[in-house]
Amino acid sequence: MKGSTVTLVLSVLSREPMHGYSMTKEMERLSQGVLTLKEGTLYPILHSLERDGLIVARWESTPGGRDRKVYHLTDEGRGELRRRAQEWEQFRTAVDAVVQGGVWAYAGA
Amino acid sequence: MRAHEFIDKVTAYITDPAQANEVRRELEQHIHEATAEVEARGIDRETAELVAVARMGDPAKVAMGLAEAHHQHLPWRHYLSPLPVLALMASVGVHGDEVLAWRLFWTVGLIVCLFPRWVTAERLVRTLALDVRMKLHWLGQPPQSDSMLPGLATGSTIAFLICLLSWTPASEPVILLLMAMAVGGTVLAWWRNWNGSFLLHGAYAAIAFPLTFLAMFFLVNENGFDLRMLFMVSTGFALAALTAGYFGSLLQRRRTQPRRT
Repeated sequence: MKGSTVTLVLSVLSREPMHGYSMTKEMERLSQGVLTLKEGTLYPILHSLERDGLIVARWESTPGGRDRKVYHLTDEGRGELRRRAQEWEQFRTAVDAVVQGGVWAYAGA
Repeated sequence: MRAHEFIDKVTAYITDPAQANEVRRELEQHIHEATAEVEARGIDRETAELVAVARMGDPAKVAMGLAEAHHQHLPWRHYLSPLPVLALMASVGVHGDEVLAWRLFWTVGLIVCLFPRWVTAERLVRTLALDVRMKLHWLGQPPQSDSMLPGLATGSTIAFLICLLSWTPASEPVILLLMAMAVGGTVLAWWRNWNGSFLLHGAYAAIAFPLTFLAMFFLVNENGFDLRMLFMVSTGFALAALTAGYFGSLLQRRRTQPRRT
């Protein structure tokens, strides 16, 4: 997961604006419990993304009366996500090609 | 650890009170929700809070990450943090007729540095302590250890130019060493991809002063010990490193701006 956390965070936010806590839950749900986003890792990433203009944060009130800081993906953030998704696709294809080649060679031996 | 202790530890490292307050609100909200979730499983509130806080991880690591993100918003003032030390040393070390002028100069520097409310002495010490801790932390991680190279390269380049333009002969071994550091650092920085951070530039600037002070001590000692010159040159080096750190961070920020697709 290391190195792709930013891509994962941007991907989760591309579905809908969310606050930090719901992002960790959504990540677990989407990955069926395989990926867990540590809260201590999440907030520095969110603040860096906000600094770089890829996301914006707004305080919004909940029906229960509590305020939540909700993060929204910006247009620049969407562009960055597209770029990262392409890179990930290339990387995944390359790894698949190498690993599957190894599996077939092993099966044929 | 209780929620308020965790939040206090994290926010203590953020120098801007407005940003610290923002982080405090956000973490409080997060821990509140995480606590409620654990509590819903039939666990008492206090234990649930402890579990929620434990899931946040090491407060120092969270603080390091947040401080790095937030220091990007503190431009030139952050680099003035070593100024009080320089001021103190200069006013102690300088003698002669110009002592008043020197003290006046550094007093103004101190006022400029400390006037903003958020740069209290306590926060200054905490930030500098965090700088050192972050630097040690990152130095232990090879993939990120090249982060300091941009600062090293730019600082050394400017220091070299200062030496070249001043009275110090360019053939001195220390100057050659600085030049090698500048060239080598620059090449390495670009080769390994510019990956500096604002805080690391600051950390470099903070260590530049004692290093250059020592270097100049040996240089100046060859022609007789001149304390005033020693302070002037080493202060010049430190200020050069601070300036380099600032411009280095600007360059780094421009380079890491999201690319439009």
